[in-house]
Amino acid sequence: MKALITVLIFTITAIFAKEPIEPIPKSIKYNKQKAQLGKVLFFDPNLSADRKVSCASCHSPEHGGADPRPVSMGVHGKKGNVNAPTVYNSYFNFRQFWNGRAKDLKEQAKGPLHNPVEMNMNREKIEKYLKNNEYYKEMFKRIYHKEPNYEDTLDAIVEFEKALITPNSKFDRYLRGETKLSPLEKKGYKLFKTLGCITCHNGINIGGNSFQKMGVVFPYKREKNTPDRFAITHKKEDELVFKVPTLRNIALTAPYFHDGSAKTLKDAIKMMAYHNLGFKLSKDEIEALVAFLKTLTGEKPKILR
Amino acid sequence: MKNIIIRLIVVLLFAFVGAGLVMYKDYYTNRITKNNNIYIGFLNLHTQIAKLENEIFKADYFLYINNDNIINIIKNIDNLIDKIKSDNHFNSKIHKSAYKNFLLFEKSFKSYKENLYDFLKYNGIVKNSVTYIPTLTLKSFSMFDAKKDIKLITFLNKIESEMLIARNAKDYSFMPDLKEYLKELQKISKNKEKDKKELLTIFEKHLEIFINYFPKSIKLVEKLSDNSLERILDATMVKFKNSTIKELNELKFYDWLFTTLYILSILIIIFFIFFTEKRKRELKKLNRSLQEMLVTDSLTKLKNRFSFSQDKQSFKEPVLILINIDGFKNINEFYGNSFGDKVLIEFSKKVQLAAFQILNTKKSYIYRFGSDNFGILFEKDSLDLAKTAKRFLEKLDNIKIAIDGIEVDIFTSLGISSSKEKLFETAEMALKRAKQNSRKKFYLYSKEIDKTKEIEKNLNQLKELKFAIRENKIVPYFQPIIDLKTKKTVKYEALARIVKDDNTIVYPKDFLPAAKSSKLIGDITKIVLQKTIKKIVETKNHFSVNITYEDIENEEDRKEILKIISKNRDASQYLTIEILEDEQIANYALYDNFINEVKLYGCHVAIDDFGSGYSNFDRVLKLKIDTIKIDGSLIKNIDKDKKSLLVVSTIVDFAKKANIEIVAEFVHSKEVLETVKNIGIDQGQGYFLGKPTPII
Repeated sequence: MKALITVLIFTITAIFAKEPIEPIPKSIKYNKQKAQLGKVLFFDPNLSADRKVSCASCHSPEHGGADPRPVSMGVHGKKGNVNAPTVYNSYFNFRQFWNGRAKDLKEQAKGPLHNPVEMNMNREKIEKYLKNNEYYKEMFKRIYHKEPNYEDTLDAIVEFEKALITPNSKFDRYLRGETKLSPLEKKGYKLFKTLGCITCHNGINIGGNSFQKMGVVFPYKREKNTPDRFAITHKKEDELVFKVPTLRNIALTAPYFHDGSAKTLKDAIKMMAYHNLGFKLSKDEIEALVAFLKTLTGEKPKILR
Repeated sequence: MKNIIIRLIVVLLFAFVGAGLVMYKDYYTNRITKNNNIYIGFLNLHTQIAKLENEIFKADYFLYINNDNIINIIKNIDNLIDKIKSDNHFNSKIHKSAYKNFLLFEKSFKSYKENLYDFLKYNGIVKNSVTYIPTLTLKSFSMFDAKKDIKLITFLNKIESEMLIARNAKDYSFMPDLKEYLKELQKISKNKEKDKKELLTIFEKHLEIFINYFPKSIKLVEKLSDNSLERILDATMVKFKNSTIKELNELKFYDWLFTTLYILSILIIIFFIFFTEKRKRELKKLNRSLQEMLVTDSLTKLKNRFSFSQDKQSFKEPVLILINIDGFKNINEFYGNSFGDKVLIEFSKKVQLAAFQILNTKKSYIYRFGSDNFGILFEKDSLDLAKTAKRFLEKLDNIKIAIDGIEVDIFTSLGISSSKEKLFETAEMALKRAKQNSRKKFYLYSKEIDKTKEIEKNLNQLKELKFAIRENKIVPYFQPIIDLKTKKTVKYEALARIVKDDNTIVYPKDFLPAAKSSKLIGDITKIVLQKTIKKIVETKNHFSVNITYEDIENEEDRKEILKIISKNRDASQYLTIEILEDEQIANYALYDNFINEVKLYGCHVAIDDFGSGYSNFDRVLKLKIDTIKIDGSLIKNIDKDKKSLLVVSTIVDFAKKANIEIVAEFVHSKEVLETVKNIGIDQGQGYFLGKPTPII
């Protein structure tokens, strides 16, 4: 029996190993108390300077954890320079932000809180607010045995974000051998591989694990304040180089690209084919690719249900 | 005290070393464990780097891969670096060089990562172009005329094949040719129409991408697999190994140090145990010799007074003979102290020998009680003490001791006591007696010579006496003196008595010694004399009164007595003065004068207790006395004892010839009376003839 299981595991592993995409685990370990506190914090607009913007304002659960607006809007209606990437499955990204400037979620969470055009807060303001709130006071005491503080606030939010995974998409179930793809979807996946999308969009998040240039074949227009790798390294070759975004739940997270310039999935596919692969796709091909991409929509995170 | 402190320090040292050892062991294991962990970290890094290179190879080789694998390995390496870097043992002085090298490794890995991301970026682009070029070539077959444009089609195929060869061979020497082809293709495409131009333009784009990015990608992959990371890590490991060896040597030194200290402290403790034991033995020895000194006389090695008081307790009936050398002071003065000491040593041997010979195996101890006093303590059992004393005297008295050729005569006196309480004191009293009496060489202690009791008695007597004199309790009793022929009372002797308030009578033997020593004797004599004279006046009978030598010796008393007699001339005719002829008499002239004076007043004079000790006929004749009273000790057994009879007969003969009247005292029986009557004694006195009474 034991030998049989071993053989079975080897076989399954061998099958999956062939595919450059891995399914999202059905569940993930996280501290439930902390995550619950993090959830409250995530949805609390009082953590912004005008008490109107919460994390969820730009990472909307209704829109696959992303922002339906081309660029996000912060306190007092200030416009940002980038389309908010989805918070779902962000735990699996190798870096955070479009240009990967944060090495993990905790570092990321500080960004929007402090950004003057996003939430425009600081450590003191956040602590002052939390310490005057009976609920937070009690929760922090119960969970961290301390008064509410900045570091633990970030910790709780990160713990919540860890829980924001979307397992059991049709494609994941296909990968696990639980379901079959339709011929169109299957065609889409084959195109995805043969056309070379897979070169960058692979792994558990189908992206999120490498940097790539936008407009390798036919150049893409760069705005001055584009938050690309160049903004960090100031090397000419890093212009318009971004972290390859995840394609998980891609059907829910329109508009697309860093500037939200692609309003539909079709537009996004067309633009990518042109700028980065250097060709035009046929209608059938686009249809098949869309069908495939739609299989990447997973279940809403349990903690939000 | 000093020793205790040293010992405390040693114990503390021991404790410190012990605690140090435990701590050191902890420290040692801790460091070894830490070093091991760091080393394991390095090995893990090696493994992860190898894995990473394998993934890079895969990324280069395969058309597409899962980048997550690379990302996960990078995360593992980052974590390992953080873990090793934050180890404070690694970041300590001893591993400084290795640590510095490790920081270099960290820095190198950072740039390695950047290169890796760049490689992945370029590799992806190149791969996509290389994949798409064959698709475009394939399209060209349908787009262009197979006959007319065969040259172009062949050219595109040539470019494709050279690109693929270059890519698979990782050879960028094809690049100049490919660049030429690109230029040529760009010329050709200018003249083409719409769709054909578009296809060629895309072909050109991809060729351009390949030309631009493939060399970069190759260079990066070469850089990524040049083992520089491993080399830095190896160098770090070598440095770490060296510093670990250095550290181990350092630890070995501590090891050696602690072991030495440990052995040293054990040795010191052993030494102290040994030292303490030695000291203990020395102290024991010293104690013993002190004990000996305490109980032993250092000169003669005999026991001393201290041991005597202890030994005494072990005897049932202890007897102590005290021996003293007569005139030892003279020997010391004459021959010197060291000679005297030698004499004492020799004498002590003789005492020991004597004791051995006399007492045999009987339990006995011999002492020297300082100076020339020796003592023999033994059990009395059935021994005759006087005989024993005599035997000791035979061996120790009148002997010769020769020291350095000088012979000295040794005479000794003995005091013996068997009075268990105050054994020494009583023996000493006896000895004193013996020393006082030149005729007796030894004295046996008895209560009579116990001066302490005597003194006590004297004090009581004195009190009683003073009271009696003050309160007129001195009363003369009168004992008749009978003419043995006529059997008529011719005289009465006045005898002093004290009549106490309870009518008990105290006799002279109980108060005379006190009276004599306290000079109250004169008062008593005067009271008795006055009261007797009163009796003479009343009864016109003859009375005799005892006058002591002390009365006569004391000028005041003497004058007063003579005054009383001279004032009563009528009575003095009837008065006889009895005096004692005594060896103590120092001034005979006083006696003579006194006797002459009382005779002038018509008094008779009698010698009392004649024959009791030192009686001397010559003296009696010189004193012109009228009567001799023969002592009771001679009369007491005269009817049986022929010696007494002979002595008394002689006295009677002498007295008769000197015309002196004779009185026999102590006539206590009919037999005695007959005897004394027969030998011609005139008068008798005694209980058989009449007891003393206060009234006549």
